[in-house]
Amino acid sequence: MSPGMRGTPPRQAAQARSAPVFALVTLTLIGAALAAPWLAPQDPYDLANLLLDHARLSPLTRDEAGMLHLLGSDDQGRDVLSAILYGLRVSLGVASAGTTLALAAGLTAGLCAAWHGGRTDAMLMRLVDLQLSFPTILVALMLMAALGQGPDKVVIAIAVSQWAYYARTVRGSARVELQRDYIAAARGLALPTRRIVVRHLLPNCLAPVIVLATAQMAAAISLEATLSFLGLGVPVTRPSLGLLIANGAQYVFAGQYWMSLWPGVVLLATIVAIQQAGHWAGRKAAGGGASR
Amino acid sequence: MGYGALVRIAQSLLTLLAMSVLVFVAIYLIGNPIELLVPPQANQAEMARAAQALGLDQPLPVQYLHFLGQALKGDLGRSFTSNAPALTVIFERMPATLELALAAALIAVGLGIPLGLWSAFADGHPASRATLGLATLGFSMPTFWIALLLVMVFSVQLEWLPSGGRDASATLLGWRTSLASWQGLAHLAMPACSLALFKLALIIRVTYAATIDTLRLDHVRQARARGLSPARILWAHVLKNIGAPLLNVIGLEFGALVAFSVVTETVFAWPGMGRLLIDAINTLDRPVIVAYLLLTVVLFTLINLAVDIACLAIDPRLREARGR
Repeated sequence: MSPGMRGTPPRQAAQARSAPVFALVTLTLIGAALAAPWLAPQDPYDLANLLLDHARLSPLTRDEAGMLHLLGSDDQGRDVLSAILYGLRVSLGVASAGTTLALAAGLTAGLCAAWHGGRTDAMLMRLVDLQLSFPTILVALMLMAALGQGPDKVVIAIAVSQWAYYARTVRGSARVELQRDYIAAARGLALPTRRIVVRHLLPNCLAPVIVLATAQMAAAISLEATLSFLGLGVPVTRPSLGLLIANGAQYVFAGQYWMSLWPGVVLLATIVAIQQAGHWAGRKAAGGGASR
Repeated sequence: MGYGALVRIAQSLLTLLAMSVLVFVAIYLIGNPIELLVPPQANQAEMARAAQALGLDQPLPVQYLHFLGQALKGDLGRSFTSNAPALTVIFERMPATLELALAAALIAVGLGIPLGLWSAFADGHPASRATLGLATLGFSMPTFWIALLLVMVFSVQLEWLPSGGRDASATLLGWRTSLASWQGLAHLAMPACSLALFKLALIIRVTYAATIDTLRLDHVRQARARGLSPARILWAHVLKNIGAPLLNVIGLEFGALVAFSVVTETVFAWPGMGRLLIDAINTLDRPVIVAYLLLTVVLFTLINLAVDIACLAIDPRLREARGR
């Protein structure tokens, strides 16, 4: 995806300086999502908190019960900050499940193609090329149209639209590794295929895949948000960041921006932080050389 | 070149066939549309009659062959909800989407290539770094989010631009379009810009990376050493070298613009075919979903094919490699 950004020394230095910040932001966001039940001022899934007379309070106001809404409340009276923390949980959960599934499928297909070569390889790679010639969003929309709504469906949509990237990357590095002496040695020892692939080949193909997975995780978060924004993703009872933005969107026109703005800021921060942290990790993995 | 082009055309036809099966089968996995179409008090017999009228009682392969035969005749069935032919429904909405995608492509290419070239020529300059940094940020912004931000700023705060809808009352060469009037352009501005942003960021980065690589080539460095003007180097050496990769990206991304307009159209209530798709998914209007997906697939395949053939024509190295 990233067309070789060969940075000049000052740029690399600037990136290296800001990189730990992005890593820290990523960890903070993941921590906040995990600790949402303890951090959030209110449980947004508790129906008792849906009070219409608390609806659409602007940020930094208190409701009659004396509760301070730091980021305001939404159209159903839920605290926006709490909804964001729980929404982040949903967004990260769905995206990481999708990424993991895509990674597993892509690894299997890529290793399979590299190991067998020949027609298996040709067919799998033809499929990969075919899929990569269509944009992710189209593949995902087609799947959502076929499967219907729900977090599990979004996970499948993410996996199906991303596996091809992993398959191509793994196949590339596996083909290089298969030429090396240690594989020849393992074959000479007549180890079972399974053992050679899983214990010898796989660990040596992982580095570029992990880097790719970080970039794809950011893309998965964005895809989930987009599908949910369109109303095809997660259900309204457990909104993700994208759905929170969609719910608030109708009030943006009335100048009540906070219901959409703050979830959006958190969404963007999450995507940028994960992407940049991944870039940094990728450069580290490549031995501090030119970024990929 | 002729042989390479023929192979590509054959591959495209196979792709289309495979995608038609995939789309058809995938869409037929979704719920039973009969329940939505007949009144709730309808009995079994009435439901069976409705299914028969729509051909939904046949086995799937029979339905597919029938569908394929009809599709080749340009008939993709009637919309379950409006009862108009599905293709007509989509073609009615297509000009709005193409207009939007075209405007976005013009913005992305018109700004992206000069900015990318400039960033490469002025590599290391703070403004060049800022441009590339913003491009990275633009890369990360979900399309719907930038669209909402634009609405917040330009419609709600500044009240400069309308927040949604399309004004195609004026005509240009007999085509009713937003491009022909100020009102129309005002409606088009925000949707087009928000749709363009991602591609703009992409084109800046691709142009930058390709140009940096080209500037490092020996013959370009020698041209610089000979004291050729930057304009001459740009024209004679850089643009010729980065032409093929750029064309590839632009071609592919135009298709992606059409696909992504689903999102933009939803935010800005733009009456295009993307908005139609979302409505069709929500009402389980299968013929319209299938027609949209197939039409987009055809559009994509045609664009890919055209780009490949154009690249074969531009770049002799590709002809050597593929023609054999």
